[in-house]
Amino acid sequence: MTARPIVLWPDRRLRSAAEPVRAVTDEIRAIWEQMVEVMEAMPGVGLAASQIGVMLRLAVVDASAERGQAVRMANPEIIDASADTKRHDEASPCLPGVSAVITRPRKVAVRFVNQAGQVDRRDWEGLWAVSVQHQIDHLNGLMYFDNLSKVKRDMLLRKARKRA
Amino acid sequence: MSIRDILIHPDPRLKKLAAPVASVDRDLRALADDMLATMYDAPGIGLAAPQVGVLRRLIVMDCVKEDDAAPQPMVLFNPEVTWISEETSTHEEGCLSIPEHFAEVTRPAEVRVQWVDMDGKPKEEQFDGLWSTCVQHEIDHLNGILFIDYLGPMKRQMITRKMAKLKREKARA
Repeated sequence: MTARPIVLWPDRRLRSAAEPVRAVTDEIRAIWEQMVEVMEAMPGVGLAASQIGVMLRLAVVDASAERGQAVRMANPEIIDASADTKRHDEASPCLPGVSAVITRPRKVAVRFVNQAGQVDRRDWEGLWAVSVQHQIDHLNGLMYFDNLSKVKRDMLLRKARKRA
Repeated sequence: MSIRDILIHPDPRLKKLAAPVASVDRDLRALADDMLATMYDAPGIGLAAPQVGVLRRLIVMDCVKEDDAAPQPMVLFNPEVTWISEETSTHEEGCLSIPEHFAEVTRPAEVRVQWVDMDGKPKEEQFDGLWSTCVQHEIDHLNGILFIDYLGPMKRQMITRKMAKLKREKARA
């Protein structure tokens, strides 16, 4: 038996870009459902498919307080970002026990293919905007701490190693 | 000790009933060591002998997941469930013979299991949590049952098709 689908850093899958999704099939929808389950089990506000070892450009985000509002995305892309920024303490189940304050655009416009296979667009701010940017980073083989300076990044990784 | 190849579903050997072990001899102990090494290498938390192509009633497991905790390898010959709790629990399961697929399976939350250990001595223990899920999952293997057999036919066929494709790709590579 194998347990826990979360891929742990430094797995090479977390450093690799994921493949675009060609069509939204039942298989893709099943992966989304699994991703929502894993996100809720963490619990977290978003998940990228590469975090469970599926190398497809799939992400789910649910930053709602009441839950059950997950937006399922294929091929998400940031098409617009605000100049003003927001600082948020980010973490990942792929590197347990550490977190870092990351500065990102406060608002983003995201284009993606939705559950029905149609091109969709959402404008997000707040935690939704933070999470979707964090997930799209994953799909490009980037972790949130890749947005830190080298000194801070190394410090964070040392701390994570010490914990492990 | 060596790492053995793990059979990938669909494989007829994963659907067969495994034969009981008559006595724990040197060869079987070596097999158990290989299975533990194979399981840790994968990595997984449990492995049944049919998964390495040996149709004998032998499973190994170690459900300690924390990286800093001491490993707790277990070897069980002829394991048998002697009691199940009425209460059930649902756990997301995966299988080394069905890589990268996970699904929720509902099973008895706690089980009592009887087995013979590496020294040939009878043992009995009650398992809960992840250990309970794992021991039931592994004993299923000895009876030719996979966790996907608890899923709906649609989901099972989808996974089986993907596995068949994966095996074809592997054979070609």
